[in-house]
Amino acid sequence: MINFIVHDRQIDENALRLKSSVMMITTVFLVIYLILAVGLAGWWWLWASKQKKSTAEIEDLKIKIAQMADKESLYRQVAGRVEAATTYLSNRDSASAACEAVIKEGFTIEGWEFVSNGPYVVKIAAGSADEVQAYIELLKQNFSRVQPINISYSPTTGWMGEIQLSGII
Amino acid sequence: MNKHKDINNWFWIAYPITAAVIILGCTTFLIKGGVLDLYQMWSKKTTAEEVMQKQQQLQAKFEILSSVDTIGLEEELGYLKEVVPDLRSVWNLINELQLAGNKNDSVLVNYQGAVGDIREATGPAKLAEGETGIRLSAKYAQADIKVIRNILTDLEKMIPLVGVKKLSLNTTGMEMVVEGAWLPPNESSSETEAVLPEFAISLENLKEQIRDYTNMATISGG
Repeated sequence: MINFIVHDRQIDENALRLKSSVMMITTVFLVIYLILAVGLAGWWWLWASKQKKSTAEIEDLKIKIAQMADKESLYRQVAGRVEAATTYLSNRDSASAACEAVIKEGFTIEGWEFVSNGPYVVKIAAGSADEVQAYIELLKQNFSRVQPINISYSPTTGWMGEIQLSGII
Repeated sequence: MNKHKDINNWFWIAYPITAAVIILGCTTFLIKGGVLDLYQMWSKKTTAEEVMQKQQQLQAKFEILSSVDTIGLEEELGYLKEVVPDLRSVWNLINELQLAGNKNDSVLVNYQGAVGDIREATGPAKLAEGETGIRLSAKYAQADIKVIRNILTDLEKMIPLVGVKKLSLNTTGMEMVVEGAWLPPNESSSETEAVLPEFAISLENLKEQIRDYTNMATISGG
């Protein structure tokens, strides 16, 4: 005689095991999903309410600032003029500094051409070609680029040196 | 009876099926953009932070404007208009050239130049391309470079600000082109949401830089 009762009990036990596993997995998924959903909604709500509060304050500030339009205009005029003066001074090539740099004790300057932001040309009268060279060496202390254009001699004027300069140090 | 019992035994399956339908349904609804799509929800923080930043900027602007001393600012503006005039007035420049010459015993032989329109400009307080300050060509009966240096030093330390654009020195004298600073008056434009420029430090530095400059307005009593 075959025992069917034992076989049925085994099927029931398997079904019960499957049921509890599925129920447990479903619950875990559902709980995780609910936590995520509530978290996301709460996070969204938090930032949405912050944005709403800020938007309201912005509108309020805009009205207050608009009421101070005259003050703002005055403030901007001052700021603009400060910027203009500062820019003017920083862009201004100092002619006095360039002039100071070509003056060397013992050398006679016959001519000087200055153009804002260079290059400049200086012309000296000297007793000899060596003296012109000595002047050029001195200029190198004050200018990054020193280039003799013309060194000449004539009995009437003596030695003359014409030197181009740029990049005041 | 037995069949009925079997069906009852499988009722529990409705729970996982319902849960799966809810999870998948809600997720699909969010991803496909139901009330708000997932991206919008995710970017809410960024959007809110942008709005909050704008609010902070406006708050800062409001605080600056609230603390502004109008009388003090008007005084500063008056002084700054002496430094960089809002009118292309040629007289200040001529006075500066004469004063620099007189201080160094040098005669200003002549001056000339196209000064353009003497006008109150409109529009934003920025010089347009090609628009310059007041230019004058001046000639001194002075050929000594040391005296020229002193003239230039004095000239470059004058208010209104002036700069030498070109200079030519020879044995007969010195001729130069000078340009006075000029900035047209600013039209009162105020944009509520625009950030205010910071100038306090620049103003202090500027004042320090031109502290020992000779102010023509003070000399002429104006």
